[in-house]
Amino acid sequence: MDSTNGTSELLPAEILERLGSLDLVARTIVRGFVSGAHRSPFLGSGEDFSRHRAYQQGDDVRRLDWKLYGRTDRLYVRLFQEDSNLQAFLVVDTSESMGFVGDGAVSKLRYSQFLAAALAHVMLRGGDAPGLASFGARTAYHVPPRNRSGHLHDLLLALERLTPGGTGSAAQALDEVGGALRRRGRIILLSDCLEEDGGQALLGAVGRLRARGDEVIVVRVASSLELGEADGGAARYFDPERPHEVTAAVLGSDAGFRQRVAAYYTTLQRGLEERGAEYVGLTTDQPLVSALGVWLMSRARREPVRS
Amino acid sequence: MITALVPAFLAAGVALAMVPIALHFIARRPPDLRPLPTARFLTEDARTFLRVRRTPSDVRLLLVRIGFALLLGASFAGMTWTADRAGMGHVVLLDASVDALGDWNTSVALARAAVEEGPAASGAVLVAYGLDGPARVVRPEELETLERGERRATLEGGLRGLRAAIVSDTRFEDVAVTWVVRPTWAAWSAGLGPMRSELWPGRIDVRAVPSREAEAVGASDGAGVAVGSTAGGDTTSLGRALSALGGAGTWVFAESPSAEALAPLLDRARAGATVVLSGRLPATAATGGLPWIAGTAEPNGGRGGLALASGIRLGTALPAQTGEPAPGARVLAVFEDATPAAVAHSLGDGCVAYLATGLHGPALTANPDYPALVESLGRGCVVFGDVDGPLDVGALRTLEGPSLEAEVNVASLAASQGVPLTRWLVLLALLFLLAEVALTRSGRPREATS
Repeated sequence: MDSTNGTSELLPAEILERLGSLDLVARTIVRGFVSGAHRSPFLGSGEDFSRHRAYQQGDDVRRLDWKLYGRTDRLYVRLFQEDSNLQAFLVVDTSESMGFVGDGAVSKLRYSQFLAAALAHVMLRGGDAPGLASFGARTAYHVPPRNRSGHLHDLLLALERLTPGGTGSAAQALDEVGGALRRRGRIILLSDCLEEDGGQALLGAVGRLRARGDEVIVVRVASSLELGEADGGAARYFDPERPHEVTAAVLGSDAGFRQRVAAYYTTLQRGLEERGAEYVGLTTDQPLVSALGVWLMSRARREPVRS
Repeated sequence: MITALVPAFLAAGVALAMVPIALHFIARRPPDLRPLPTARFLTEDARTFLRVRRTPSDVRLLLVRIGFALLLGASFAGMTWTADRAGMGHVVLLDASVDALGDWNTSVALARAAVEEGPAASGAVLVAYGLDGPARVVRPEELETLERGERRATLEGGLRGLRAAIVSDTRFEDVAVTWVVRPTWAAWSAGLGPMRSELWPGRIDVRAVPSREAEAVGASDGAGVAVGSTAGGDTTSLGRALSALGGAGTWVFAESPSAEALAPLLDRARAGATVVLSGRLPATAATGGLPWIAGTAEPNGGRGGLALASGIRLGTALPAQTGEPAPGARVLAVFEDATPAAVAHSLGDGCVAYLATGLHGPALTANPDYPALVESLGRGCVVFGDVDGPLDVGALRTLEGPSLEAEVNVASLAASQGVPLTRWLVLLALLFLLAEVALTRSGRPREATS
């Protein structure tokens, strides 16, 4: 992957260096981010034996363990762990609200682009096949999930071209991306998760993905200002996706604002976790590398390494 | 150098520029429009709808508005660009018209003396008017061979020529004027008195070229001539009226003179003086060439008041004399029944005016238009401008303007001759107005998308 160094400003040398150290951690603790350490969720016809299972009608008779049948007089089939590349989709929210800069140095979309690039880098080094999709005015597939030479370059170029605009639905995008995956995989949603219906449709889509076995990670990207953690002063505020609805308010003195925003995201997080999805909340003023590290450590705590 | 014809409009423009400054500081405006993706979680705070800004929100817009106000004021101020002037000059104005023919050598000598004796000898300019062409600057050595005009020049024409010549000469900033002229009533134009200070707003040293007429008048109308012998009456009012005319002591006034007193008065008129008679005249007056044939006194004649030729009305129920004007006499005033009340007639080199009622009675002296009556009588023979006599002292003082500044700053006069900047200022003001509209309109969407 050294060949990709400097191909895009999304991965400057400093971040790649820091991600290299994260990569070492990821090899041992994070499934799906470490080359060779990842095991596919599919049990199939690989080389590594996994376990026996009682024969059921319809099983391939070629998998019957005849030696075990001789010893036990019962029919068992042999199951193997399949070592294969995991297909993953980075789904980036490019709706109008993602262009909000707030008090950070970059917009939420730019921050998401940095994060998606770093994740793609890590996933490719781990042997996985990341793809890229976005949703704003409409859902768009930019790069299909692959793991080949030059794929990171294509992915980073596609990331660079993303611009904010329109109003999109994360639920619809997740449904479409889930349908595009040929087998179960991982879907990483990078969005501010500000849905019109309070996130109910999003939770429904996540539930459907989880039901078919996909791993879903929701990375919420927000600025401190819109979370009520910074004082924005008196102004007439409007949602970029609903510019005609203007609210005159003093951001620093509206005590309930921060609580209402926090309650929204807490409810969303709880719903996601109930459906077996991961939720990671990031703010644009967090250093990107440390944000990635926080996420990886969080995942490590949730999913211990299988021996 | 840029000058303003009406500087008050510049001050008005500055005052107008204060308006946008004040409005930008005190106007209550809604706060900024800002995007916030989580705006749906905010609660409305009505107190933030309007806020007083302590600093102008848009400095560019404020500057454009100030500029527009200043340019608008400057547009009305009549701004002109004129060449820079410096120093003080002395202008000698010389009448070179046919009026000066008889006394040309005297005029030339006086002009040369004025050039040499002027307050700014190094900057003396000799301007001749009354030529066939417009007034122009001439050299002193040209005077003997100068082709003088064939028409009679007016004093007004001389003043206009002076102004034009000075304005076109861009050397001097301040100018003092000496005028060599033979000042006669013939050269006096109607309305010259009020126009005098407008034509030339400075004092003029008038060097009068003497003439025979002037000498004759001077002999008979010396400074010792008193207000005429009157049979009682309010001579104080007459004196004040004459003072207002600037000619006290110039005329001889006589109220109801006796036959013995009338003869020397008529002699003085023949010698060039202006004699004003009023009231009852002796029976022998008719044979003396007076403008009025004396008749019977009618103290309660019921003729009503006087009406001057200018339309001014004075007095009521005045006692009057009756009679017919002599041939050639000019009617100066009539009674309300349209019978002649005052007439004037030339006599020898002078003039005799007669008022068929008492001049000093309170019915007339108490009237605010009394000086107009006195002036009408005193200038009865010259009011039609056909007498080639010298100007009286009052008219000369009007010409000289003793109350005016001796040196006139020419810059303000030359402003009307400079390059007018008004159209450019108006154009610039329009551009500022367009910029103001553009900034105002572009400010709204920019604010909404920030």
